[in-house]
Amino acid sequence: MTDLAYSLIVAYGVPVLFAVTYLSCLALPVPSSLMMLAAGSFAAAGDLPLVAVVAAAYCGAVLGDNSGYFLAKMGSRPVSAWLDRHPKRAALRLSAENYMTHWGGPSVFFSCWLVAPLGPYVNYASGMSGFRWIRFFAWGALGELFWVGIYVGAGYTFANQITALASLLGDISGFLVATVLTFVLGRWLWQVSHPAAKPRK
Amino acid sequence: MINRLRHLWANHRALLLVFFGVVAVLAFFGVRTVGAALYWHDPAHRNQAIEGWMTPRYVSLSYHLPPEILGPALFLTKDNPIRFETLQTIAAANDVTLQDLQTRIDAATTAFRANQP
Repeated sequence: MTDLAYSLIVAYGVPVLFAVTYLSCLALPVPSSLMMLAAGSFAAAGDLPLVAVVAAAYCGAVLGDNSGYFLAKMGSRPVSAWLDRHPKRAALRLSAENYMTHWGGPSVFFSCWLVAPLGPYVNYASGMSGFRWIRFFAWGALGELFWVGIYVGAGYTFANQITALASLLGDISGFLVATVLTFVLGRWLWQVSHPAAKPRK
Repeated sequence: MINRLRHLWANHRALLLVFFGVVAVLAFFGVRTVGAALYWHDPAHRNQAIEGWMTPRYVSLSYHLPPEILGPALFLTKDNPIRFETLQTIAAANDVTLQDLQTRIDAATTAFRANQP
């Protein structure tokens, strides 16, 4: 898998990097972080121009985020209608919208890089919940600077250790995503388990 | 706390189980991260053996070998200069295995270091 991902870069160069960061922002399972690391180290070795690597990965990521946003926005009408048909689902939709109004910007920003595996879903949620596009675009474009900068930069700086680096960064990313999920789910369970909370019928 | 757990078990069992699952995943990645960080920290793991995806320039950087020393070890000459291609491709084109390439690179590295002041 790793071999194939790296060999694809050698075979097709910078355009393949654009394609994988684009696709990974739409939640498709492509090894975008591995390939950014590898492209960074190929840039350090002098095989690829660093500017082109960064530009391709960055443009792919930003375009991918916005494609996800607009896809979800287009699909939001039938989904909203479905959610509104049931009071419980309607309440869920409302609380999602409230959340995005208050925390949408930082959520988009951090989901681009710190907890990148959650990124595509935050993009879809943003489009679906009517989060304002200009805010989405600005926070996302800032977040992707970190995502691309960290992975390409790490590949470039530690070019001769990317195998060990890839597994370290993968584990850190998994750890951070699990931390966020633990916190969010734990907080919700804590609230609904309050002695005063109504038991479910 | 016990009461809360009882309440959740009675009313939100599936989500409570998902929560325990997520905590297990958190522990799993926590342990792996520490392991990977220790591995990363150990200088002994910094000399990567060659792999099929590596390119001549990458090997040159990784092994601190000037391209003119590495080139002949990878069957690269003036007419067939260093390009952006994988060692796998080079091995196939010259009808050798990656292991053969590793041996040639190691020999070139030893010879080069022996001539260094």
